[in-house]
Amino acid sequence: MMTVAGKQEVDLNAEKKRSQLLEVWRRLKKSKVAIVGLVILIFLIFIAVFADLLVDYNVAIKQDLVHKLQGPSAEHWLGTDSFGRDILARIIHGSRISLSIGFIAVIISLIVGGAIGSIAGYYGGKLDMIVMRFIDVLMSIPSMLMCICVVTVLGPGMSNLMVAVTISYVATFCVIVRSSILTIKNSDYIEAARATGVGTFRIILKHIIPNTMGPIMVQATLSIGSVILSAAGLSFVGLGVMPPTPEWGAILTEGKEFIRTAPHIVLFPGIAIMLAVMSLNFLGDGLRDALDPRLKQ
Amino acid sequence: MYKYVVKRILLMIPVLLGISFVVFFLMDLTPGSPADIIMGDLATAEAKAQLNESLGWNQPFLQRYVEYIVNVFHGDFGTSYVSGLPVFQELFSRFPTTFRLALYSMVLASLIGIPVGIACAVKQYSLIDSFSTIFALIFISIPSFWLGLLMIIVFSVQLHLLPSFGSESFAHFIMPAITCSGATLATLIRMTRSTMLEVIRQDYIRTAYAKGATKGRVIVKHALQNAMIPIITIVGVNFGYMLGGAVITENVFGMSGVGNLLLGSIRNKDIPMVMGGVLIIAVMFSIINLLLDILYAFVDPRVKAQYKKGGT
Amino acid sequence: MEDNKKTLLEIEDLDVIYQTDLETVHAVNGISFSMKQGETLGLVGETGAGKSTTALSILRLLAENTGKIRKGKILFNGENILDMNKLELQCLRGEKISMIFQDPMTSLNPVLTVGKQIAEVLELHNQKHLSAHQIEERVDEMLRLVGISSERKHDYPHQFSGGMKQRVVIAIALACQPQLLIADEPTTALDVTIQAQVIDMMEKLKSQLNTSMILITHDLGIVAEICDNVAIMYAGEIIERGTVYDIFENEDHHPYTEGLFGSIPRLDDETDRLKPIKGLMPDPTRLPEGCKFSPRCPKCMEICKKEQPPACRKGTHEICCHLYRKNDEK
Repeated sequence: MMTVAGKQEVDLNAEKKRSQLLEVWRRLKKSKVAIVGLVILIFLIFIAVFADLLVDYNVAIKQDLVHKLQGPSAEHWLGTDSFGRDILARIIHGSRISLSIGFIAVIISLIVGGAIGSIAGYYGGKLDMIVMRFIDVLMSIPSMLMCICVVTVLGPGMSNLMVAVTISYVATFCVIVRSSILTIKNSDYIEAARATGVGTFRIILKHIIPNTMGPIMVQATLSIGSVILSAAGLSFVGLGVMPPTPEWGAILTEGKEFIRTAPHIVLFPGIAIMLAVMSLNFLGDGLRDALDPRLKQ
Repeated sequence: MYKYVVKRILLMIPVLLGISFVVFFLMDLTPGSPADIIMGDLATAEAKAQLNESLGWNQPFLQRYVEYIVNVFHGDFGTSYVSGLPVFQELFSRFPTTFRLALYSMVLASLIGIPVGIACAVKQYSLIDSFSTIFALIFISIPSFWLGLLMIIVFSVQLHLLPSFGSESFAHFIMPAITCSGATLATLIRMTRSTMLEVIRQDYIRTAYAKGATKGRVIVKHALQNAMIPIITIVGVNFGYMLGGAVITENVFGMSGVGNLLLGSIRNKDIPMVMGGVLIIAVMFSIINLLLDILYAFVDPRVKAQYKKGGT
Repeated sequence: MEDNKKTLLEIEDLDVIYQTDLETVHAVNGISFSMKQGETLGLVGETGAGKSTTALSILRLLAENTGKIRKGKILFNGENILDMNKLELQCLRGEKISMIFQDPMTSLNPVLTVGKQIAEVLELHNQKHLSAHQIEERVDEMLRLVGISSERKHDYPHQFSGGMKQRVVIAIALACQPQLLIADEPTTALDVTIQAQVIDMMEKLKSQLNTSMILITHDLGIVAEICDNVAIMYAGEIIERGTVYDIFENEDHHPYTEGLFGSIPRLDDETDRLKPIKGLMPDPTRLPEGCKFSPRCPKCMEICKKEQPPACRKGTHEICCHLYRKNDEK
């Protein structure tokens, strides 16, 4: 009898969750901006995943000095860079690097920051104070400087770049998760769960995390965009991905010296970065509205 | 109120110590010794070892850190490994450029962002509103260095209207200020809009209309001041960040600001310079935050009451 | 009530809806009433009956995006408020008609001193060209009138208790000596002891300043205490109206009114339980046909479900119910 009742409850919960997700999706669909963002994002992910099928990686790194600095033509749709490499091919393969930096850095900092933030928020007291002082320290160093320091220590390169960006976003997620946990921790239903003898980790996992998901998802979506921007910025000051790896920021930077003669080298990778970040911002913004119906009256 | 300020200033000290420790530690991890930087590749290993010895490089990490901090408390930030000049002097020769850039960009962002945000809220769902919202979202998505380069292509290379390099005249600051203000402008539009939307739904706004006040008066006199706290927070915090040097913008436009100086120092492992720069940035950032908190008390009497009670 | 007094406010067939993308709420459905100078009218009904909507319509303060007045007239001193332009409305609001809102906690601007908030209404309607000094004096006078020491005008709303805030709101409302005061549940948010104080004060000031008043409430006790006339609203309609004697002393009542009286405890009647009205207010997006009360009415007849009941008059007493139709036709 007990088990049946328990199972029913689980089913009910699952159904409730599903209908909640459906409701969010229904509201998200109504926002044209969010859908535009989603479509662009899916398109870019598609390009990143099937980059090898679209164009061979060798095309993206093969130098052809005879045809360097050419404008867009039938052969090279977006022209060539200072080494005669096809810019379109470099942008296509660059999508892999740029998008994965964005996604991986955010996922790792979400997990690390989320874990620290939830433990600090849940247990409170001295632990919370020590952690928060440390986070204060991290937050008062401008993130760009922090990244530059870390990259200088570790040396340039894609994985080091990711570490640097991750460190500066851990603090952000830690703060968000902690504050949403603090508001939920003291609510009645958590009290009720604790009163019925539910274990701490179960409470965190089953009650607190699902209820903090909304704002965190929004922040994560928006953060992927800003990570892509930071990574490109680091490449721009010469501390990012090393050539000839085609990261968007790096492609753009290589064109810096030629803006007088071949502005297209700067133009196209910039558009790619903008599209990617824009799609994430559109989506994140739509998600925020969809998750918080209060904002729309 | 004074108690509150003193308390806040005292709280800054552990944070500053933490920051200096983190940066000192990071810089220590970078490969190469000070002598490599000061003397270059041509010097003999012996001479380098001697110089390192005299700089205290051979002492344990913690001892060096404590010595540095003690010196800082005596007002001595050390001398740059690269230029040989006192760190403090060099930093402050660069500061006016950074300050002007930060000031211009914030003024620009506020002058456009706040009125547009208000207009969006007042005319919610109108053409202005949807256009500005989308414009703001696109604007945050533009990489600042790209925007800077595009402006150089158009205004310097093509039209020869503005200088693309340096920081001597006001004209040199126009494009950098636009580049820098972009993200703040977009955030400001969105934040002003959403805060104002929340405020104009409050009962006291209806009370003001019921008194017979005009729409303009209600917005300016009743709504705006109540929406001010998030708005000044954005302007203030971004101003604080920018005082630390807009690394990328200064790099694009070749400006001799703090950001460019620090970038070079980090690359050259000029530890005294980096430490001094980071500390001063952190101090300024904390001071701006404190000033913001004090400003809140003037905007909202409830906050003032809270400070008086001694709560943080 | 003597009939020689001038009619101050006359509402004819007022119809208000709230329209959103998803639904249309029929908040007020063709109500009409009028009131004379110096009169106090009680507007009684449950939450959602359309009382506040009616009040907001008089000042044209309905939510801009959603609230729409579909038809009707609101004549104030013979002029239709619905035809007024912005400028005329500004002259009307605060000076000739003012309003006290339900929740004093939120109806004062938290960042302005109470003195400034009272002074504002005087500055906005400064016909007599008072100097800044005279305005300050008037602010002091108003504060004293509502029983607050004038030294407290430099304090901010958060430094006042709920009852004191409502006094400030009343001071703002009465500062220009309006001809009509609309009080929308002025005491609902207050403690019971404070309620009595505030009501007494309003009653006193009203007669002192010779102001007419519309009192919106669901508290029948207050109505009996200070109203001359009463209108009972249900689902956006006035279903019964009359003098306070008609409502409290007459035998005949609308079944809803009977229900309302049945749901307050009586000292002279020994009952164990209160008798609440069964059921809920109809969904204002889908109102029932015929009499809006018919689904909950204990005396519901066939005709009630089909036909809108007519108004049946008996002297000053008017009831919209099929039950009393025959009396009327006799």
